[in-house]
Amino acid sequence: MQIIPAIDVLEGKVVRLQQGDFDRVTDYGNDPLKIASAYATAGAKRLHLVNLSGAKDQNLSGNFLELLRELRVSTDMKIQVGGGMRSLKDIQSVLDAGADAVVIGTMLFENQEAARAAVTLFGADRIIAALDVEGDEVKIRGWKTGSGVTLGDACRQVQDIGIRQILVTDITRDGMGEGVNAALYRRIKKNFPGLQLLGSGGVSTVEDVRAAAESGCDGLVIGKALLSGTLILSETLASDLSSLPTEAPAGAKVGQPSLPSYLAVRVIPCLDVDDGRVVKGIGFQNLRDAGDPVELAKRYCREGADELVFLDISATHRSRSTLVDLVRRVADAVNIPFTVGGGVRSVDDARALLCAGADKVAVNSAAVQNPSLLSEIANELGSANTVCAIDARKVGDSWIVLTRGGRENTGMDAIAWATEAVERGAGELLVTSFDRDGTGEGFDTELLTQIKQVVRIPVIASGGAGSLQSIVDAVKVGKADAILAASIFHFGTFSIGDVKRALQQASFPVRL
Amino acid sequence: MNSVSPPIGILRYNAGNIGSVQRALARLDIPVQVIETPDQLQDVSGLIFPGAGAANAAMRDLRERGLIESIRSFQKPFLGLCLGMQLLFDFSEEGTTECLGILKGKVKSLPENVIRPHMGWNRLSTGGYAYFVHSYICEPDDPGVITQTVQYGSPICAGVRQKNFFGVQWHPEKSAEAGDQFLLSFAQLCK
Repeated sequence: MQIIPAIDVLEGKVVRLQQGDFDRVTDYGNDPLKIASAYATAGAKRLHLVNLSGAKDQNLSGNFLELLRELRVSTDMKIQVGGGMRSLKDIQSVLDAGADAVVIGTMLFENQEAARAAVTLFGADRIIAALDVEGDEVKIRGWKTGSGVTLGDACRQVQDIGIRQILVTDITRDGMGEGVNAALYRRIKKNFPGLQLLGSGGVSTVEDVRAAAESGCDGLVIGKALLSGTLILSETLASDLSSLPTEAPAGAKVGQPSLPSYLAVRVIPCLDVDDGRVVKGIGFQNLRDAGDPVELAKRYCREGADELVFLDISATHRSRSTLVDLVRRVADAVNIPFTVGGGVRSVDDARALLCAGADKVAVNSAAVQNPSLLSEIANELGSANTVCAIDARKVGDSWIVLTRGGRENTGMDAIAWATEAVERGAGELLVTSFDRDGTGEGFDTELLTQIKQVVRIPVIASGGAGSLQSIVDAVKVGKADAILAASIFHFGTFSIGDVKRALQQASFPVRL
Repeated sequence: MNSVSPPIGILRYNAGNIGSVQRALARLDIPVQVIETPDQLQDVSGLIFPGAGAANAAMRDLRERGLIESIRSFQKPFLGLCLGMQLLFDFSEEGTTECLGILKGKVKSLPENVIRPHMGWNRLSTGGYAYFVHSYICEPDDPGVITQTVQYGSPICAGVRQKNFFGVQWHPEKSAEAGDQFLLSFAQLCK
């Protein structure tokens, strides 16, 4: 457990309030810098700085920021700052003035979007949630107002917005020196083991410190007891507690040893379009126009699709402009990546689709006929945007590449073609088993395995999606990075959520 | 977000495709202005710097347009996406490119032992899944600028901040809810 001395500053002076009451102020002298420096010398590694002027007047003054800047240059201690932060800009000012973390309280309840935004923009290590409790209710606005939220719900809320550290003050004990609320801390650690817990309020003796440590606190903020000399910091640190838990790292740091990747297995609905309309029967109700690819795309997007694939099966000259227009409308409507394929015969075809808003283009027959097309597209438009679609059928012990929607047998070996496609710059392979396509009998895991053995780029499994187990097998046995399906989604056999939950149950990471 | 607040700029450079970023902000009702020259920068409340193409071509284009100094001295919230974040650093191994040098550190190739590019949805240390497509990673000299990480072989830098300069390695414009939330957060900061 880390001991964190606290300094409360009001109008430039170090003070201590009793139970948050501005009428009961003890003035410990003028110089926050001197007190901080004494704490650092005594061995403190972290300082809790409270801007009482800010908390009182609901704003952040230039004087306080100036003090913070001076503290920053005068000490190596980590500094966490609370009080009076009401906006993202306030948080940024305090961090820029030298704070390592900010402590937010009222904002958590009155402007949760800002609190969430703060975690996203500044990082979870920089934000500490202050939960000031009386009984079981969290108080806000300098303890004056009830939030109507219980401590348990508040802990869940802060965890949900990505915060990992909470500072819990029992306000009936703060500044009273009557001992810490160990039962409270024990309960929090039991119910929320993922949260780092900083205790505060009521410490006056070394026994109190020990009680906090034994209750599971990761840190303990001590104010008055140190200021008044009831507790001596160096002695407190010395008495500590080496057998008790120390502060765990707040998050993964770059360069630490390898941990499993959370790269999600992607679940991709495929929409076949002909002259701008979805073809293949669609079983959905509640769509204004079941044949409108944009409507369907939005629906899949809402349901949690990770990506979409549009295959233009008409691919006549006239339909190209219809397709480009469709791509534009899809790009306006969805907030996930999508790939467009079918009839891409040149770099210009591919460019037109990307410029219209597609994230990737899939090339199939034209690349088989002219493999250098793949290299050209990859060079001009980037490997990551270039998908090679391979349609394969098993013949004897090997797989043969088909083109023109399966109508033409090229005699080419599919595994060899996959290898060449990657060498030419394809960033991803979309592998369809023609034996399985439309059968619902499961993906050709053997084909997938063989291809995954020879390439080091992502492979999307396609053709044969049927039972949930068959989908899990494509990933488990076939080592596919993504699975693509049409009918099972269109006809509502399974939702995207069903598929993802099945994958999750099989221990694969999914975006849920 | 109301339409009276000044727009957020999107920097167009290197003939890059800024369409998806533009569309994402439009979907979220965030007013946008496309920026191509330094003098347009005073009209915006913040600036988004999308990733487009390769590092060396992008830097060449910024130089030719006279944008380098304007970016370095930009005072309002600035957000680099993917390559846009990488260019904030001193140097990139991609094409041996000297970059903007706003953040200290290097941009290196992803190691051999992972599939390159890192493509797909990965879980951010700050919560939520984000969409990544990249082969190079940022290695800041000061780990304190890292705002979020993601596991890919080892923890890699997924977001940075130094003063008003923010960057993410992923694509908020393509990252569903997590992306929308991030862009709205940035817009809130710009207000």
